[in-house]
Amino acid sequence: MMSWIAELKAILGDEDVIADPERLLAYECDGLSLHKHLPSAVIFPESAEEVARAVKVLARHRVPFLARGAGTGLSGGAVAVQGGVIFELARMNRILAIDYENQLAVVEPGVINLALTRAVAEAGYFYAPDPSSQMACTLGGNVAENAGGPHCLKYGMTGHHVLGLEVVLPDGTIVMLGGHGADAVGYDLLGLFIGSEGTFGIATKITVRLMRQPQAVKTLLADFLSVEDASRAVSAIIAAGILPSALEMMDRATIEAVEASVYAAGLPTDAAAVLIIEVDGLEASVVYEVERVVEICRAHGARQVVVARDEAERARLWAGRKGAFGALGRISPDLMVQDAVIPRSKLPEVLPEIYRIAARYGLRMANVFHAGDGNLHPNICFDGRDPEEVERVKAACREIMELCVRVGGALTGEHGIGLDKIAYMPLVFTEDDLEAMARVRAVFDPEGLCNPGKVLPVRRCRAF
Amino acid sequence: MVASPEVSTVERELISIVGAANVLCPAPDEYAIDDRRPLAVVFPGTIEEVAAVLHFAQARELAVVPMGSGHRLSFGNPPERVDILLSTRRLNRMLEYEPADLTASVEAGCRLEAFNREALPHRQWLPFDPPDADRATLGGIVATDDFGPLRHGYGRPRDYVIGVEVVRADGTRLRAGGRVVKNVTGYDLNKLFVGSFGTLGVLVRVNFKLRPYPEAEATAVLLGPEWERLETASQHILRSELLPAALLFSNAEATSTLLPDRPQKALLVRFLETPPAVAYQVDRLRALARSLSLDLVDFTNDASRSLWETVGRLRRRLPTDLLLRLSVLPAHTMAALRAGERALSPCLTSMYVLAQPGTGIVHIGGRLRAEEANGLARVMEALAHLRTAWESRRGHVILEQAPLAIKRNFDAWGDVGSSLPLMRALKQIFDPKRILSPGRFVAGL
Repeated sequence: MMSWIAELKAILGDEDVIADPERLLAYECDGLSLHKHLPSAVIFPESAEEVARAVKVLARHRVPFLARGAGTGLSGGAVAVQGGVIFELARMNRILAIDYENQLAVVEPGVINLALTRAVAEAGYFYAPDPSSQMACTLGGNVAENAGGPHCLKYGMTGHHVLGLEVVLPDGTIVMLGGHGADAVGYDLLGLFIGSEGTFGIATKITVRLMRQPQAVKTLLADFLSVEDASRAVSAIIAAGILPSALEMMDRATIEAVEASVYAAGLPTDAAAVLIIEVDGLEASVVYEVERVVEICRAHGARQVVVARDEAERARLWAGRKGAFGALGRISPDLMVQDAVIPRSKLPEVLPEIYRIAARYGLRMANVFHAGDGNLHPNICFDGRDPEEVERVKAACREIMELCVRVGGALTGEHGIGLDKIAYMPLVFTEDDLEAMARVRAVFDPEGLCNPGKVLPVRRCRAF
Repeated sequence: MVASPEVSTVERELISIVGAANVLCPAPDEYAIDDRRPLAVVFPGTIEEVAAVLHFAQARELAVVPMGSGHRLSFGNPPERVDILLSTRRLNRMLEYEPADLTASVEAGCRLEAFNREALPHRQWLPFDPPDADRATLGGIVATDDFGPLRHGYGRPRDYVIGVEVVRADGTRLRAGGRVVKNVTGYDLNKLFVGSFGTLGVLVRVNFKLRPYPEAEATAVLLGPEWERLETASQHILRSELLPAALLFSNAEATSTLLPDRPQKALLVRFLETPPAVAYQVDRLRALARSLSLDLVDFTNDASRSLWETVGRLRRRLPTDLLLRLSVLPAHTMAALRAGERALSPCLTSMYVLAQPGTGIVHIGGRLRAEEANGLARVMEALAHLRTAWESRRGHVILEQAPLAIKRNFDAWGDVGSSLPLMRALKQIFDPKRILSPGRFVAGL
């Protein structure tokens, strides 16, 4: 019998199957450097058919496998924790169809998020979900994680914008999920698949919704002398019935890092926190709502509220916001980008507590997050070479998770459970709930070969 | 084979769970689903009681059909068996409502109208307008993922469910999702239960995210003698920056119920926005109507709201034996509407048509001319023809309501596609003994 490597080479060609340990190093972790595992091989399929044929080979040899887009994930989801084969989908990066009449596009999984919006911008459309990594992350990865981004507040997550998928199941069969523009009938397998973190199969074709660009957009910068004031302003905006398209907070540590980097956006470095607030829609509504947002911010102690005067100023603010993780990454060897969600009214209570946790463990923390939907990103700067510090990071993260769950929150709003948060799952779900999830997973992947070791506590996954 | 259950034992057991006042045995006629009359109707008052009923039912292999208000029970295939009809009527509490978070948690039997009455003073709401919204329970709306014209601007109930609690066929409880608006903690099992028509579990609690209630509203009704110019108008709106909350074609029969003195084809455009944006959009519509030589009638605030309430009650206002949903690609809406009209007008009297060009949903309803010779055969032929034509164009033809004689010979859902084996496997996991609404859903699940 041929080795599985030889079989993969027969399907894909020698140069598209790499097993040289030096070259595999690039695939030992994703955007979260805490978890490192070398795959046995990485392959570069170029079509659904190649993916399916490769999956069949691996299923027959009982070799685990997983798909990977740009590797920008932040939960260790694209790491080969049990060895096996990584399907690098970067070459499946064609936009297959753009259909303005039905307001949809059909893409391959390796298409970069921002590339889609750029392809349709001229015609007056955009693709709404915009993770901070949108210049690099792929739509296939977005589907796996049910990715979010600042504009989720108004427009919803990836799951609200995907209309259909072509999926290679872990046994190599190809199925269509969702209606690809019209409604599907039956159980909502499309909704179930999105956010399954690569454990249900490999999406090889994605139909997404395109949205009409709004008539007007205004972006505001409000700065505050205390994080609590900024948090109360956020709650007040939401409670006033205004639905901004984005409502982001950056604290002083983040502002300082951003202003010292290439992403410098002219943020006031003496502020305790700034809010970036974007309102879009019809010109008439935007004017009306901007006035109210300014009023609310002032009433909650904003020192200054500035409205970006033009597209360049707006772009600069967003470059600062979206470059924040990169800027923070520069100031220490490692960065733990945490992700948790709380009911938004709890912000003024929870945020100070998170700073206290970091202080107690002697850690440097910066918060930059989607305040409008209560999606926190406490980021911890640390040195991964110092095992004692790593332990403190882990202990602080656990306390943060416990705190968020205690106030009615969730473990992750957009980064996923991956490898990193499996241990916390019992904080949120009962044994029965986790058992049900494990059984649903087994419907898609009875042999437990597809991205094993992720999402659910390991003992629930079948051994092989 | 299971021997037919002893009625008196079932009654005794149900009474021991929920009390004699909350069991109807034998079930009165009005609780029959299609031609099946349940042995008993049960009204549990707590989640524990629901669990006990299911535990008992599964042990005895009795078929259980969960029910909200009951007005959508005939949606889908006729159930193979109905032993116990489980009403959520007494599970109707609003459990948590935190206006500052724009989230709420309710028991499944809580009615949409009652909920929105509580939320409106906070200028918040659940933006759902399914047919008969004044009767519908939130559990029923979620179980059927039922929607109305607001789907155009606000999406489906699916998009608002952030957590559920379900009692499974064996009586165990399952929670999915949570209470926050953004959450990817574990698999999104919410999605399995939304729109599963009571075939995977009994929804007992649902957590929603809400929307701010808009400050102003208006509706512009464009009227014309034929579809062409109304379609031009809708295309123009869809390609513009306007943000209608609903966009709906209505044929003369439907329009005559809404505007008795204007029995014409119409395009109804609803705006829910800030006051200046509503005024701006109505002005734009006036200009559009002028340029296309269409008549325009507009309604603001209460008058607009009441117009749409009438749309939601059309099925009650007009005699309806048959109600069909065509779901197609949005760009095919008008073609599907015309095809549906053509195919069904020989079979229906007072045929009404409502269609959403933004979402590709077409509803056609009316009274059957079944009394005529071969009436039924002709309907069956028309339905089969429509299904063949539209399934080949990514569409579906779904029976929302039909006489049993039709439903016995025409599957309510049609072709599921390549993912059917996965659906079967999921049904097997959650309901291995097939006691939950057996046969009602796609492919007889």
